[in-house]
Amino acid sequence: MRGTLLLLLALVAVPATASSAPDLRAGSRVELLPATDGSTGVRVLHGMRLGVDLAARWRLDLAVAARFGTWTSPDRSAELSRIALSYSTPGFALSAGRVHVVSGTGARMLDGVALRWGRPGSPLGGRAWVGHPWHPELGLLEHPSLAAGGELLLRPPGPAGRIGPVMLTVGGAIRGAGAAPDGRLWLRADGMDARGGSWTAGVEGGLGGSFHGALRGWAIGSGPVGRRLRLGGEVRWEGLPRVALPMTAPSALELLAPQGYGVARAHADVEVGPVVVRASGGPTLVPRVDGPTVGGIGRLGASVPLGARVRVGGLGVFAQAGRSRVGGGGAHGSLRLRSVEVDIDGTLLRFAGLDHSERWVGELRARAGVLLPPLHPEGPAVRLAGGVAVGADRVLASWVRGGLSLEVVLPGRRG
Amino acid sequence: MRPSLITALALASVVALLVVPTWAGPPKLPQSPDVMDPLPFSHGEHERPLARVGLGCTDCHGFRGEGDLAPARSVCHGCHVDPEVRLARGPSACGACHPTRSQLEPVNHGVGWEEAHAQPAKAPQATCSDCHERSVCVDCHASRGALARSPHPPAFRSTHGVEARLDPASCDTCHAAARCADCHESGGAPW
Repeated sequence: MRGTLLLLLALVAVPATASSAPDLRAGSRVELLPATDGSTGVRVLHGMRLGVDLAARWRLDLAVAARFGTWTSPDRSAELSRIALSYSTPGFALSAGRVHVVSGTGARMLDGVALRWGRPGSPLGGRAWVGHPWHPELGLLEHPSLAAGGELLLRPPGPAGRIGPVMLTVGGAIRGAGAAPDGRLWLRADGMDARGGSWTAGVEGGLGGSFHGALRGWAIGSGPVGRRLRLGGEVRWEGLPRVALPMTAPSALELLAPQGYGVARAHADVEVGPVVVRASGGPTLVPRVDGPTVGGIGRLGASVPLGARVRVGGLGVFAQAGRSRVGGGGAHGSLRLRSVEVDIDGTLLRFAGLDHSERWVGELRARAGVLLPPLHPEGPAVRLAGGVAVGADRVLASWVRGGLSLEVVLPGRRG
Repeated sequence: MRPSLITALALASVVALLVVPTWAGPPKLPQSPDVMDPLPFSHGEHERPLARVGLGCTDCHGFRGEGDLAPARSVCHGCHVDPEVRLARGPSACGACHPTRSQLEPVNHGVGWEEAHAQPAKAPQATCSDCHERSVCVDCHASRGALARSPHPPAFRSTHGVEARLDPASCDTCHAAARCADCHESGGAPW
């Protein structure tokens, strides 16, 4: 804590120019955390993200997080979320270190190398990666494995030589952890239109290993209908765990729906004068040996401005999965001044869990932040924020959570 | 371990801050614009580095009979900003071309934007990548430190159990199943 405070003070004291400053954000936070036995613990968190252009084609990115106190595993109290050195030329980029790789089926973190080739809009491009999977919640040493993969990006040209509106992605990846390797193949298509609509559809299949024959598929799209309405929807089959987790780490899908499940969701955003309304929801179908389980969720929210600085609204939610359900609503409000922000929301819901007994649950949250006046016109921005939340959980135990944070952001860079 | 790590980070950052401004850095563009009003631009400054990487006149100017030969913003950002492209890896500091930060920053990026950016960022027409690297999202949303930000809606503490059973794969995007144990197996009987 003392070290970070010194860092923050140093940042405040150093005026930065837009052309020389690195991209830097750093902060510290102290939190009160409720435990399930009614006790309250204290946790101190630090974080820093730094990006520096070392030379014309080289860039260094660094992100660090640390947690001390309640619920921190001693061997993972500090983590290097990212340390990557990247080099890029026209149509080619190479990153090495702890990198984040985004592919057609999701994002993963690797200790390894990732490369990309092809200019945007060109008919052909691709990505490839190899490394040791890493996850911030799991650490490194507990789940040794190796992952490699790649994909080709194909973009058929549009009319008159323009960039085509559709992009096709074909890819494959393999992961190994000492046992039979786990492979997967995927095919994806993305498209957009000039009116602001977009869609994506794809299928991903497991090949070998414990997920041989398992499938994931999706079709997602949204677009404007008139000037004040935007509609969207998606249909997914989830039968193959996503790539973000290392191979040997159990996923929520394997624990909660090992046979897979289907999801359909829709949403509508409507502007009626100054009132903004959003409705969303849809069913989930989980096939089981003794018959399918059907559930679903629906949300409705609306907000309206009261003057230029205040916005208030209401929200409602209902969700049911099997015989568990939760439903209710609440209200929220926000105040925005030049350097001050305040948000308050409260919800009251009726909850029936796995024991089928119905209880009231609720929470009230308040957060406020102040942007401190800069010491230098182009100097770092300093933000002091605090928040508190109180509530009662489904065993009627009251809880309180709160904290104070201090953030410093160095201006003048991306990120 | 704890003090040494934090102290090392503080020292490293302070050293970086002291060292970085001493670099000569990228060449400054001339103050008298010759093409792109109101942004400063010099063909002389651009010809050599672009030619070195094989880019010619038509890579910036369309010449498709559309009347305006000035390159689109995406052309400039293709070299100076876009982390997926960086065709010629020009100076990436926003201030290299845009004189003042206040003019450059979108009006909706004021105080409170961190809490409000989720929906605009998900929109198909989102222009986040004009200024931000995609991995920036992960630095906050997959972080467990003080910069961590939760994308979950209000009342998620009360609804997450049911929501997780409705769509567990969406949890897997960011969380390992072991995450559940952080709360449900801490400090007393599991829920």
